[in-house]
Order: sequence, then C-alpha cells, then structure tokens
Amino acid sequence: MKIKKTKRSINHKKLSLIAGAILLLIAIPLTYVYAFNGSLFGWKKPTIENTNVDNDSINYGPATPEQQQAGDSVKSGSTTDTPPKPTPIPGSSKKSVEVSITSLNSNSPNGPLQIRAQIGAVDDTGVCTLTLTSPGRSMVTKTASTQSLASISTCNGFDVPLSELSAGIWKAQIQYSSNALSGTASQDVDI
Amino acid sequence: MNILTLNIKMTKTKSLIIFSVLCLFSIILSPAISHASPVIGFDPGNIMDNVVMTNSDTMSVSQIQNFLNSKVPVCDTNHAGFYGSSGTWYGPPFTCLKDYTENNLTAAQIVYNAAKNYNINPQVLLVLLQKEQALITDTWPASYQYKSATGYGCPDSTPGVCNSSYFGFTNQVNNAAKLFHSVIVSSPTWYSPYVLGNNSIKWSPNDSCGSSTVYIQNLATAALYDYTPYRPNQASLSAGYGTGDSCSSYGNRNFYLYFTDWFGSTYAFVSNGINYESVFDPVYYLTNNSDVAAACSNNQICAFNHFISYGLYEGRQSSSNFSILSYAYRYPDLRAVFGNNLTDYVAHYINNGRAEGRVAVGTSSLQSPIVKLNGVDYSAIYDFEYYKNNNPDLANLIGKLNDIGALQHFITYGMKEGRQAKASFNVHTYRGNYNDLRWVFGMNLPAYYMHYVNIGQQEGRIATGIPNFTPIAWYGGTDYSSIYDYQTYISSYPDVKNALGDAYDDTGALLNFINSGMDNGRVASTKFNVNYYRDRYPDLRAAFGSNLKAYYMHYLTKGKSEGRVADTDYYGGTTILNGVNYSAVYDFNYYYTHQPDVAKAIGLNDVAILQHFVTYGMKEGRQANTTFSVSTYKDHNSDLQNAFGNYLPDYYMHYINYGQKEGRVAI
Repeated sequence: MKIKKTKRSINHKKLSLIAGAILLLIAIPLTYVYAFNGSLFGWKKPTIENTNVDNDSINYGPATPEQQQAGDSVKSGSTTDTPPKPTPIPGSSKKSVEVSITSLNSNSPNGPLQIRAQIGAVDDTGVCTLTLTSPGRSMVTKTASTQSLASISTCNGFDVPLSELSAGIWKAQIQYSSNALSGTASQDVDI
Repeated sequence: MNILTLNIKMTKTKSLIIFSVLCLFSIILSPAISHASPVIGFDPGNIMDNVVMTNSDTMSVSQIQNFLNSKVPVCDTNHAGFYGSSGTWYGPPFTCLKDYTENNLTAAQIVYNAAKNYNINPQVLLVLLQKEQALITDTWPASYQYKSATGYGCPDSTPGVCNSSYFGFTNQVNNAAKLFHSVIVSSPTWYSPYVLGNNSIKWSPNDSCGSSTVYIQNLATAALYDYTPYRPNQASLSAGYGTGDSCSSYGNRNFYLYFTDWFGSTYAFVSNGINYESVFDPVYYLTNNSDVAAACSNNQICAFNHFISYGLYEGRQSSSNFSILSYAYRYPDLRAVFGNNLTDYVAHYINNGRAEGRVAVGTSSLQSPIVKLNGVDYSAIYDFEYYKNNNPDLANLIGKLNDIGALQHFITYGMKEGRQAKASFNVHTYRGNYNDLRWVFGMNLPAYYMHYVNIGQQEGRIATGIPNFTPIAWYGGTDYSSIYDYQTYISSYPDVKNALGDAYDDTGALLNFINSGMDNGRVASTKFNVNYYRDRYPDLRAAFGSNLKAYYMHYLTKGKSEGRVADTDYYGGTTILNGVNYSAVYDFNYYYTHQPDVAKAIGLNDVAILQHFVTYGMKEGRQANTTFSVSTYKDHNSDLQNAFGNYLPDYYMHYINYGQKEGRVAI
C-alpha cells in the first residue's frame, strides 16, 4: 500500500511538473505574441505603416483580440447566421421550411411588380407557385423553379407587368415545394 | 454554416493543461474584449460599392500569403483534438490557412485564382473565409472548416438536401466568388431574392424577430444579402465584434468590420476621377468629427461628400495616416507649387507622395518656410512668420500654407512698398543710415533690400533703429551745400516735401532743387538767396539776365570764392554804359531813391535808369550819389567854367576822368 501510495504520489508530481512545463512553454510565446502585438501593458500595437511591407492599405498586423474572439464565436457556432432547421409536418413526409417574401414592389416607374422570395433551405430542385388574388378580379398564377444560394434558396423571380393587375389590394402568395420541403408566404400589396 | 459543438475529449492532465491555457487566454484577452467599439458607418442599403467588390487587382498571391501569415504568426498545429457535434473526431495535426494546400495549390493561390476568374476582390473572399469559418485568425482550424470554408450550400438546417459537390476549400471559394459575380453582373441565369430598391430583410434567422425595409442601392450589397440574408440590428452594431441580443445577426456586420479593419473602406470614395481611398478613412473621419457624424448619422458616403465639399478645404484630417495640413506643412517643395490649393496636396499624395514614402501626419506647424526663390536667398531680409504676422492685409493671400505666395508677394510688391519682413531689417532705416546707397538707389527701395542681401549684411551695415540721417547735398560731382540745405528746402516748400518718397528722400529733394528749384529761384539755404545775389551784382544781371539757375551756379563756381555776398538784400545798379564807368558820379540806389519821377517812369531797371542819367540827368544837373554834386563842382572849379561853360555833362565827365583823381572838390 505504501509503495502504491508512493507511486501515485510520484506520478501525480510528475504530471504536475509536466503540466507546468508545458504551460510555461505555451504561455511564453503566447504572452509574446499578444503583448508585443496587442495592447497589453499599454504597449502600442505596431501601426499599419510599420507592418505594411508593401506600403499599401492592407493591414498586415496581427488580428486583434476582438477579431480573434469574434472568430472563436463563429467557430463555436454562437454567432452564426444559420437558418432554422426544417420542422416535420404532421401527416406528411415533407418538412416545413421558412419562406419569406423579400420584394413586393414596383421599383421603377410603370415597371413590373417585382416579387422575390427566399427559402430557408439550400435547394434548387423545388418549384415556386405565385398566386395573386384580389376580390372580384381574376387570379394571376405563375410558377418558377428554385435556385440555391449560399445558405438559402430563392424562387427564380416573378416580374408581373402592372398591365396584368388592376388597381387595388392584391394578396400575393408564394408556395414552395420540393420532394423534401415545403413552405408558404403571403403578403398584401396595393397596386 | 456548420455548427459543431466542441466536445473535448480530455484526460485529467490534458484538462489541467487546457484549463491553465484557457485561464491564461482569459487573463490576456479579457481587458481587450471588454470594450467593444460600436460599428461606425454601416449602411444596410449600401454595404459595399460595386467597384470595391469587383476590384480583383487589390492583392497579389504573395500579398495574400503575407496577409495570412500576419494574422496567424504561430499555428497551434498540435492543439488538443475534439469531437464534433455529429460525433466526428477532429484531431491534430491542425493546418492553418496560411499553410493549407489543395491540389498542390496554396490557399492564397486558390483565393487569388477565384478572384481573377470571377472578377471579385480577393479581399472580399478573405473576409468571407473569416466571417464564415474564422479561417483567417484560427490557429487550429479543423477539417470541416475547410470543407465548408465559405459556408456555401451545406447548412445543417437542410439535412438530406445538401449537395456534397459544394464541399472542399476550392469549391467553396469558387462558388462564393461565382455567387458574387453572378449577382453583380446581373447574370440572366442567376436569380436573387433581392432587387435594387425596397426589400424586406429579416433581422436574423429567428423568424419571430421580423424584418425591416432596406433600400438596396447597388448590386454588391444585394450580393452580400444573397450570401447572408440578414440585416444586423442595433444591438449587433452596438456590440462591435461582440454579441448582441436574441434578434442579432452577425454575418454582414462582421463582413463589414473585418473588411474595414483589414483592407480599408468598403466604399470606393471616388470623386471627379480621383480615388480618395488612401487619404480618406470614413470611420476615422466620423469618429473625429462629431459634427459630421451627427449631420450624416454616421453614413460613410455622406461623410465622404462632406470631406470633398468642406472638410478638405477646412484642412480636416481625414485618416490616421493623412492630414492635409500636416502634409503641406512638412513639404516646402509642395507648397512652392501648390500654395493654398489644398486639393492639389491631396491629389499629389494620392498620385505620388504615398508612393514616394512621404509622411502626411505628425506636423502641426509649417516647416522650413520658403525663403529662396529663383536662386536668391532672401532670409537676411525676409521671415515668413514675421511677414505674415505683421501684414494682416495679406491674410487672405497667405492663408495657412502659402509661404511661396507670401515670398512672391514680398518680392513683387512688399519690397517696392517698403514692407518690413524681418525684425532685423527695416529698409527705411537702412536708407536713412547710408547716403552712399541713397545716392545710388534713390527711391528704388528693392535695391536697398537686395544690397543688404548681397553686400550690406556682410559689411555689417545697420538696418534697425533710428537712422543716422545725413542728407545728400552733392550731385554730379558738384557740392550744392553752399546754396542748398535739405531740411531748409523741404520745410520751405510743402509741395516738394509732399512729392518726396519719404522723410529720407534727400536725393529726390536735391534733384528737385537742381531740376526745377533753381529755375524757380527757390531758396534752399539761409546762406544763399538768388534774388539778393542777382540784385546785388549788376554784372551778373548783365550776364545772366533772368536765367536764375545761372546765378546759383555762378555762386557755386566763382561767387563764393570771390567773396560775393548772397545772404542780404541789396540792389547793385549798374554804373557802366557804353564802356564808360559812371560810378564816380552815379549810384543807382541813390539816383533811384532821390529821383522819384525817374523811378516811377522807368521802374527798377538799372540800365535804363543809368541811360536816363547819362542822357538827361547829367544835362539837368541831377545829383546821383553822395560824393558828387555838379553845381558844387562847377562853382569850385573856375578853370572848368572857362572851358565848359554851362554844359553840365562835361563837368560830370571831367570828374570821372580827371577831377576825382586830382582831388577836386565836388560836394
């Protein structure tokens, strides 16, 4: 027992010494990097001029602690702008995904009604169906395929000539559907 | 867009080590990250100019590599491994982006190639790598970060949809570049959920946070929203690089922050064909000009327009590296060319000065004011600060920078006007002190300045204080001092005094006397009055008549040495007529005074008076001086009576020719 206890004690001391040595080895260069290039101890960070080897406007200085911390946050996933995951639809094999109308305006004189929508998933296999309805008026329906972007997708645009729409309040509805996902968004527009 | 929770697999020893390191990190980092600076100048409708996004020439491969090296000086290759959220083990060795290669191409080369292929600014791609996966600053990036380096196409939110063809660093960078390119060139095969104009943009992925209307002004901004379809809210912007609230998004905020911190403004800042990027830092300008920040609501374009329209002309510093006034203050060669034209200094720095390594900050007062022009050093008589401070009428001309203009003014006008430009040289004192110079230069004031510059200073001549003024009285080899005195002349004739250049214009006074004063009979000395002189000497009147100047010159050349008198009034009428000297029997003044009928009839004409005496006076027996009376002479000289009878002129003539010499009684 005594011997065992001694061995455990020795092992524990060895581990502590190794940990301390490694800590110093890591701490010294880290201190050097941060202290000499950061604002620690009130020392000045090298200016852009001092570090700008090509004398251009590129900042060749080391990343600031704020920049590194922001990067760490991205890496850890705490500050990423990730669309919410699709949610199951009861009684359907498909999942629900957010669809939102981003543009429902005529942005030029007598220009078409520009209707755009984003889909909260990356998918270029779906179909978007636009339905424009207004009480007492003929419904306008158009379809378009989808195109994936970096983190979302979009319906392949709807430019509806104003000549197809008489004056009044219209309800625009976009129905997105693919083999795996579906979603809907709607919004009123005053023509 | 991957989210991988770091499940650290640790032994006790590793735990101890890592905990210690993390403690050290927190100690080192905590002071720095506790003060997040709010984002300044973020415009949700114009996050980046098109020309900035499409400038693919901003960095070479080596510059990209240097940039990557600078951000991760030391790579933590052997960092502890960890399990990802999907249970995948990510262990060392870790490869930092600066060392990463794919298909034998470095990350720097891959970024460069994508930028060139899609005509996108490589800086945009570098910032994208940071904002999506922190690859620029990460000292131990895991393989998944490279697989989804730009977060393109495979978010966890769409399981089963993700296309693995997007995987890989090169793919990620190329797809990102392609997206930006497609939007910005309005590719007909590319669709964007955003249009130029009003758009509804969500605050964050959290749908319950709602959206805001953003007027997207350009395609570069639309492309950024294509990539990250959220607008950072105020909490996000107020946090700087930090964390906002539950409705905050960070992608576009971080893109803006990283870009501006690492590569400068996201705006081109071009006006009239000049790119002001190297002299205008909108964040600096807004931060250091609270009035502009308030008027512009921290909008960068508004700040730039203010700088171009007002700030530049007001000499406001526009970046930490460029101050117009500092630049102009430091370089006299530029001031010699540009004077007060501030826009020229800016253009010079942009086009030449920066490349020449000229410094544009750190100088708060004008350095080495120009004192030389066309090879002449005016420093002996000219000091910029003295001239500026003592000639307030030149304030508009000189301004803050126009030392060359000030010197040119001094040379062209100041010297002629006798302006003092240095405490140690007063041209009037200099003139007053030295009549040898006045003799040569007269009222040519610039000649005095230049004499001092070229000779006078070396000779130790004095140019300050009350002058030791000795007026000149000689000219053309003639000494006029016996007929001319400067003070007497100018005090007697105000018109002369008024016509002179200044109180020391003795040459002007003397020349006036010589050229007109003598002709007009002006009295310039208490020792000589030309009227007295003329009146006194009939011989001179006979010789010079009404040529007054001749009397002056006669006195100078002969009269004075002959002892002639010129300072008291006396009229010396002639006594000689037709070669006969009647002075024994005739004195003009006596005759003129005692024969009032003659004086009244003839006037003060000594020759005519004498002619009257000879023609009539002697016949009539008129007495013409105090020493001869013809009646007395006749009465006392009976021998003459026998000879001349009653013809009286013969008595006069006898006395003249003989009687006076014989001592005969005549009075």
